Amino acid sequence: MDDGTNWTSIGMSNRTRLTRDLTSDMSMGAGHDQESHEEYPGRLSDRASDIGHRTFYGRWADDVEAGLATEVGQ
Amino acid sequence: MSQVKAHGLYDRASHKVSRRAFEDDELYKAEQRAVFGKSWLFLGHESQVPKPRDFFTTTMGEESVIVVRDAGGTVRAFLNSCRHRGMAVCQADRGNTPAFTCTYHAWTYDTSGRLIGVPKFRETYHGELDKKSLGLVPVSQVGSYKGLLFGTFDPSAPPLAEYLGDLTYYLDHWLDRHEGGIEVVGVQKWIMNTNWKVGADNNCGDNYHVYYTHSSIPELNRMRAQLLAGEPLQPEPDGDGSGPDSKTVRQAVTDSKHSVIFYKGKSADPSLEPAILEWASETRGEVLDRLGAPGRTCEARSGWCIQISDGSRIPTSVCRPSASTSRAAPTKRSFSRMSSSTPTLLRKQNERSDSGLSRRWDRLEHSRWTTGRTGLRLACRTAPA
Repeated sequence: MDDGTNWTSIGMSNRTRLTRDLTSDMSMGAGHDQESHEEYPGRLSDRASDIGHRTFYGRWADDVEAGLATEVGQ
Repeated sequence: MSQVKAHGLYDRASHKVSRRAFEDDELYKAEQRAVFGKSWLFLGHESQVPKPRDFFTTTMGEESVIVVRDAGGTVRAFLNSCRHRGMAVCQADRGNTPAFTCTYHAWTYDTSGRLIGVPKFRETYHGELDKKSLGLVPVSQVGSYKGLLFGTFDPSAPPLAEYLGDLTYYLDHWLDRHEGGIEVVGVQKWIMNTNWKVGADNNCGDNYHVYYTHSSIPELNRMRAQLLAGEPLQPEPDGDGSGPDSKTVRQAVTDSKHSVIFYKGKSADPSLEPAILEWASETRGEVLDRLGAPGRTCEARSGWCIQISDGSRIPTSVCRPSASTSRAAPTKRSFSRMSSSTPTLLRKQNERSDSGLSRRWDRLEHSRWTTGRTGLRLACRTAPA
């Protein structure tokens, strides 16, 4: 078992008629972030948390939406 | 205009991502413009091009890119596409060359991207081709942060250091521990049949899967440490594979929307070779002095050997000062061994520019279902370059 096995399986699964209408969960640790720290910059969380995933998909959605809005405006 | 609505694919209240985000072709095309066309993207490391005319190839989104230190010493990046008909002008992973010659009609470009050679220029073009306007297309901005090279196709993107924001605090703890900095000691490439975001979100901090998918790595490290100490092998006390690191590993997301995993105030991994541990111990004070107040720094697991991956296809420049399966020994010009999980065949192929994998990489058909990944093995220099 390695990362490639997991990710290619996900890639196959997301293509199919039924599974592509499901969702993937990024909720681990939501609401339990440490908002600030005297030494370490940013918001912090425990070792196992989806804080990075939520940040990634939030930024991804912002970027894609902003890009589409720009195209509409042109 | 695309009908894609990205916000509808990520629900911020429930923290759920529609799986259509991974298979929608219109969305994939929009990402190429809005994400990969706008972000600073990781290219590689300056140690990959130490001398004038050194080069390597990588990708920025779907685009094949040549990164080259020109004859004058400036690191530049260009689209790997001949201005004549579009053939790749470089088909090697890396090397040193005075010029890039297209294998189709032999148009030739110097390391500054200028078109310097067009065969039969006078006989066929009657000397009328405007060669000055047909140089390789440059990446709009190329920047460096403590040896890491980034590029962006957006001429109006903010300066790299501003874009990285608070991530530089964490990068410094990884890149700037010693005067010599770090250097690349190997490159790995993978082609995976999955959407690029699947690998990217994993690299944004999926420690959760380490408990199970990679449980053999901490387990083997623990057993190895016991054997080195002459102790009888004991099973993991809590049985979840997390070990004592679970108390020191933290995740952070910065205002600049970068993710990082770090070890809080942790010294070197006790399972490393004794010579490395000795070197780490000897230099610990020096490192802490360099980084800041002793006892208030974060550290990578081993302190001097990190693996980052998925550079060119991660839009948010995610880096991981965290556990690595590579190992570096403290020689003057340090070296490392490959990850034990890397197949031998792949190991050999990766190291050659004429490998079968490289040829497949060149012909990689990018799609929402196919992703190319690059990983760099990095090691601290124990002496300045």
